[in-house]
Amino acid sequence: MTTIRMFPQSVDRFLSEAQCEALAKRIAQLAVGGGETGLNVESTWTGNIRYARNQITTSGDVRNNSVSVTRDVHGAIAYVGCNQIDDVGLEAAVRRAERILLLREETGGTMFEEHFLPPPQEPFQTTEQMQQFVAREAWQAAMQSLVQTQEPYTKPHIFFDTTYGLDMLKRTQAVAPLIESAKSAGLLAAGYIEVSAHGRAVMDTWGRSLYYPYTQAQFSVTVRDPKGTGSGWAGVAWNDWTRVDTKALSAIAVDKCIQSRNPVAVEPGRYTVILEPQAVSDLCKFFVLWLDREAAEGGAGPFAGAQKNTSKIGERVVDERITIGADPMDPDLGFPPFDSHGNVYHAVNWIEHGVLKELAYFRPYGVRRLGKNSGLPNSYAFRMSGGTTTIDEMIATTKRGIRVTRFWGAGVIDDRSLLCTGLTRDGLWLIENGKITKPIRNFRFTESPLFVLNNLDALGVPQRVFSPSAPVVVPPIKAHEFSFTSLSSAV
Amino acid sequence: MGQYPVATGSWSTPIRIDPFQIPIEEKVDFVVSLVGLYPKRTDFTIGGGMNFMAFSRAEGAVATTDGAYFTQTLYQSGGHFSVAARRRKKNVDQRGAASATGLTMSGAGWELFLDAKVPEQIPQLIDTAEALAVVPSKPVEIGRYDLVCSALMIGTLIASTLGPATELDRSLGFEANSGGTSYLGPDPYARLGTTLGSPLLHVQADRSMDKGLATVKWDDEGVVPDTFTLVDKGTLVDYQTNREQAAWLKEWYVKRGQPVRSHGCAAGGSALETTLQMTPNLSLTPGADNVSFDDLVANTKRGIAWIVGGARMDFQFREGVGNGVMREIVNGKLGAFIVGGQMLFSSSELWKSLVALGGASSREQIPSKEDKGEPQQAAAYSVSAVPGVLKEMPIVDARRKA
Repeated sequence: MTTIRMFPQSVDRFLSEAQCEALAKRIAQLAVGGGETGLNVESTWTGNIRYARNQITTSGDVRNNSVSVTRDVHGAIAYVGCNQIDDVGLEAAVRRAERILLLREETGGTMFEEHFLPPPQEPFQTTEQMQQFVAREAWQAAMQSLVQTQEPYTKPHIFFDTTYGLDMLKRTQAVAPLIESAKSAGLLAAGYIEVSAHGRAVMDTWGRSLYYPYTQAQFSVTVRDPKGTGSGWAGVAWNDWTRVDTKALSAIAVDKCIQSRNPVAVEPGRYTVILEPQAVSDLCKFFVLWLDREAAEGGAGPFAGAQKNTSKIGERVVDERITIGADPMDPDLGFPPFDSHGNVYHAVNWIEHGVLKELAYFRPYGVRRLGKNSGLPNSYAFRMSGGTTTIDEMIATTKRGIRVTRFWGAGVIDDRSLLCTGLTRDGLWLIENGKITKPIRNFRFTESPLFVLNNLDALGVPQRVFSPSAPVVVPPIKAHEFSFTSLSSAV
Repeated sequence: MGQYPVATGSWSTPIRIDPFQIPIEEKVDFVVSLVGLYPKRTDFTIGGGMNFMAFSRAEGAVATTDGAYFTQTLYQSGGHFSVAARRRKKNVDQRGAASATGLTMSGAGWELFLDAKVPEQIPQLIDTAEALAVVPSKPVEIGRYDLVCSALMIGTLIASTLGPATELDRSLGFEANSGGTSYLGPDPYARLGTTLGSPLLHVQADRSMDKGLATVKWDDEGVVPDTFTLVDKGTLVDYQTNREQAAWLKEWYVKRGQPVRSHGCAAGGSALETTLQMTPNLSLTPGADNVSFDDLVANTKRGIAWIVGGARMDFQFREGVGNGVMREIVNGKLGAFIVGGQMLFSSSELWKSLVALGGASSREQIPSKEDKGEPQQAAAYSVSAVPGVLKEMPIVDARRKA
């Protein structure tokens, strides 16, 4: 039988499907006291190289297995993680899970529910709380879904031998010319290449047997002038190393460094901005993070409805030119078709022509509250629709505005309006009468991605950005009334 | 890399009780028993409990071509116990909360939980939570205020400014592509000997602090760390170093008649990660007078008390904003909670604004964590700090746009 899924030519640096199956079988044998047994594996090889001040500083190859053992006896569930996959390590994990199960029964069966499964009674105070909430939800959903049939999943091509084959010598060869180009310009480069290959497995005695191999590749570089008066950056992350153009990206960082030297201060205030795709991603990732139906219907976040237990689904929330969605089969966005707990990702449009169409939920919530038979988890990968305006055209039509390379250290300070604060970094320029006139000092901003996506002037061609944990494809954006609240003297 | 005595032997964090010898059943019993101690109240609903307990035991072995071979077992324990009081009065939700002391993440064992005497703290915590529940709130009025900071906030500010900024590799640009550089760079020689803050700012670093999170006998390069002064009465006199970096400051050390030696700041997040220079424990020397946080408040006619919170910094630790729980101070007394207050500061101005410090008995040890490197790794350290007063700091409305 042929399969669309592209398996690696050889697997010797992370666990194969057969090895994971053997592990699942082994822990089922080790279980004592009946019930069901499950295994989650994220087996990883990582190769990296790092350079700074125009010299290679470290390079490493790391292999690690993150293994979780689940035991379910009479509906009580315990979950223990380890990274030791010999019999001693596995047996210790299984025994530990069984001991926690016993404890749960002794304490009236409430302790671990309280610990793992808190209901969303209070609005989240921070984005971290939101992330923790979703992480617990994912686990809960997977546990509750176990007795149900495994949902079918798509099979994107996301394993690339070009990535898996980027050994230490090739990484070094890739870096050498990048250092030279910064050096010859009299500048200091600091950069990082990381490639990784993963086997993700979810296998259990309920009958699930999921395995998916995938690769990730990232490159980023910061170029500074020796006096510290200018800084440029560029970076990207793909599944396929051959799509990472290190030389082109390095050239951008060198150019941005040169063009950003000796910035001048301009007054904070509201400006028309031209956000490069990286800046759009740095801001809009918070928008995507909050696309959670249970949180919204529980009254938390920007998508909570006006009435209790409702959301803003069906309402127009951003400019009608904006569609935001994710599909594991999108060749420019590929990501594993299920999460590390086995929750399956489906193709989805969260926002269609400005209207909120869907919010993420896990399968139990879908079955219990929405009368559906599947979940709609959020992978945090996303593609945003764009237009055809180039950045140069955006500049040409701007009387007074600011071009932003990227944002840094951004965080949500008000979850209702999604108001964020953070800084600009590595290249900021003033635009006057259709031309870039001077580099300017960095700003702290206080702005919401919702506001930006409602104040659009123009959109460019979407492209992949640097987002190693979840792929992101977004356009450059021109928007008005962007709020810069204070000057920053950091370079 | 320098010559150092060859490290051999083994060492363990000096704990009394290995938390992993305490069965999980006993830990659960401990947590459950605390909830049973809440007295019945008619007025308030009392909730809360042990939000988390965390323990770690890391066993490390280091061998070097110097001939060093040593093993270390490092323990960390900590938790957070809080009591919340809540009632609804005239359609208004009144809520207050108070946290137990003595449980912050430390280089300690299970004894941390016994020594904290949480049961004895509970009545006082409930009183405090109920008292806080009826304190009114008001929106921030922007302006300049004398800011009375708790030991926690002074410690947080040190960890947000001097902690990362005095890393020698960061200041030279080795972290440029990840966490950023330092406002005390790019030329350390141009910074050493310059004024960073008021003479009250005297900061030492070590890896021997009692219950310190970065406390070890040897660092990951086999060096016995020393106690060294980073900021001498307001003047920058040193950076954090490992073996390789110490030589980069040779001229400075020779000029000052100091030995050229690593301060023992090498650490790796785990055996899977490359050793980097990581922040050691930091200590702010307390003020000479026996002054408490309450005394500092009492001495302030009009100001703001910053009690709990955090700081967001830029990628050079040059400027930042501070948020969290703030209360107004009127005629030496704590008043209403201030909603939306945010302190704007630059690291250099901040420490020049330091005009008063609490005494040794107001000292607290605060856990902190540093993220560094590519791939990113984390290292924990402790900051010993006292409350302090920052003169005329700008306070703005965090949620106000331009």
